[in-house]
This record gives sequence, structure tokens and C-alpha cells, in this order.
Amino acid sequence: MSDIDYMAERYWEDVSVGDQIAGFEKNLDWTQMVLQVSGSQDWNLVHHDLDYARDSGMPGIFYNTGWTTGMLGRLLTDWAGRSGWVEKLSFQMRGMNFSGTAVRAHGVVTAKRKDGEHALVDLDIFLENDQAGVTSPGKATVRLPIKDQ
Amino acid sequence: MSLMHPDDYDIHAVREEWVGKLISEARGRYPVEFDAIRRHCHMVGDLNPAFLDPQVAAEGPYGAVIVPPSMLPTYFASEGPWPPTQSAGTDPENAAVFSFGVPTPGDRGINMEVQWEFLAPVRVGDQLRLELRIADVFKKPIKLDPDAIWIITETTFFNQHSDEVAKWRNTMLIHRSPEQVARDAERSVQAGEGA
Repeated sequence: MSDIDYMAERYWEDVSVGDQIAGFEKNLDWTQMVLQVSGSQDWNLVHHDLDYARDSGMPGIFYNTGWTTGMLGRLLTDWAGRSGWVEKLSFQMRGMNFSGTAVRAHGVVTAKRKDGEHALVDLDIFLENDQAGVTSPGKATVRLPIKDQ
Repeated sequence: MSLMHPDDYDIHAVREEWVGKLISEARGRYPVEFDAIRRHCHMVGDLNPAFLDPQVAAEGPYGAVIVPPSMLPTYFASEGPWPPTQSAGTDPENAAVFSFGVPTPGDRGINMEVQWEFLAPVRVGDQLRLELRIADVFKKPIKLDPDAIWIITETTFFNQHSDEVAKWRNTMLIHRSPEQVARDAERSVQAGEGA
């Protein structure tokens, strides 16, 4: 079960630059590897075939873009509240998340601004694992509701 | 796949032919559906009822279950990986999936950078289509392969009302396996000895 209140709103006024998003962690065991392929429908052999991954010059199976996007997306939608809307999400694959590691998604608020009627929050977001550190640094913009509107 | 020896590879000719080219105007094989969203959420442990619970979502800001923004809309805007088709690039006889058909020395793909812009909610039942263009192709060495090719694509997603719902800019790296690199190097040496 989750301790996140998905019915709650997160209002723009209640967010401050520097706010940390604690996020969540996943252990990349064999079950998680299977869920990665099932959920993304990405059948590139480097994401599930150890011999092929090694033949490609990799030390092991590494997790795919769909999974990486999903982890960072969940980080944002868990935080954004019921009416929050993820406007932009970008990231780089600077390192790989290999089977056997533990990966944490987390973030920090870097700016608040208004664009017309839209109240926006900019964030730096990260995937990092317990062996390589930050593997996927990224940026996001989330639109939040304003109180009494 | 159109594999080429690096000595025969003309990056200028490849750029001339491919940059700006419309590669795909795919349409989703199926409308946006519940179970694929559920599998996506299961993949990352997402329990958000906006993506999973039709009753709760009906009372939410979008009035229906929506696709998580992080679920690549490509999934619903193309024919998907099965059953294989030539037009989807999933035909085993024409497996240029990672390079979008752009000729490359290697056939191993790694995604390097992803940029998404989410413009409107995508609801269960929506019918998506996409337009994918090659934005850039260039050669840049990596540790594994001095002749690695980088391909940047830009994709726009539309719903059944022709509204733009998302934009995606992606940077894909295509490299050779160490065995391919060694084999190609051997041919280069032989060609040098024969000259």
C-alpha cells in the first residue's frame, strides 16, 4: 500500500524553492526486470538477455528508457497532487541502471514562476543507484493549482 | 538492417538524405486502453488512481482514466511490437528499429537523451497517431565504438481530434559490438595491406 494521499491537492503557494522530493526506491531484481519489459514492451535484447548485453560490450542487463521515464514520471505525479500537470520532462542517460542495483528517484524544486494564468514549478530530478551514483539527471516543469481559483 | 563498414560510410551523404525526413506517420493499432496503463504502473509501482481506477478518475479533473505522462505515447500511437509488421519496423527481416532506417555501421542502440512536452491529457478510448522526423544525424565516437552514429528524432503525437497532445525529442546512439569493431578493423588492415 502507498502512504501517498492521491486525492490531496498541492497548491503553488505552498511550494518553496529548495523543497526536496524524497521520492522512492526500487531494487532491480529479476522480477523488476520482467516488469520492466512487460510494462514498456521494449524487447531490445540488451534489457533482458544477459549474454546479448555482454556481447554488446555491457557488463550486464541495463534498464530501458520507458522504465527510466516511468520512474521519473511517477516521482512527479506522486508529488504534483490531484490536479497537478506535468508539462515538461527531460533527462539524460549518463549512466546505466544495471540489474542487481538499488535505484532511487528523487528531486528538488529549483524555481517558481507564472506564465500567464499558469502557475509553474521547475524541478531538478534524478535517478541514482547505489553503485554508480546519479545515472539520469533531468529537469521537469509542473503546473500546479492556485488557491481559491 | 543497413550495416556499413565505417570506411564506406559517408556521413555527409547520410545527412543529406535523412535529416528532415518524415519517417513515420503511424496510427495506433488500438485505442488507448486500461491494461497497458496498468502494466506501465506496475512496472514502477505507481498506485495513482488517476491512472488505475475508472471510478475515482471519473470524479477527478480529467473525468476519466488518463495515460501517465511518463508512459511513452508511442505505445498507443503505433502498431506496437506484436504482431510484427514491416511498416512498424518490427518485421524480423527488416529490423532497423533503433536507427529508424538510417544506415549505420552498428546495430546496437542506446537511448541517450529524452525531452517530453505534455500538451493535453490522453484518456482511455482516445485514438492516437504520430509523426516522426529525423532532426539530426552525426558521428561522434564513444569508448565502445569510434564510429558511433547519433540520431535525433522529433515526434509529435495527435489525438482523434487532431489536437497535439505531446511532443518528444529523442537522442539515440547506434554503436557496433566489440566483435563488430574488431571485424571491421581487420578488414581495414587487410585493405591497407592489399593497397
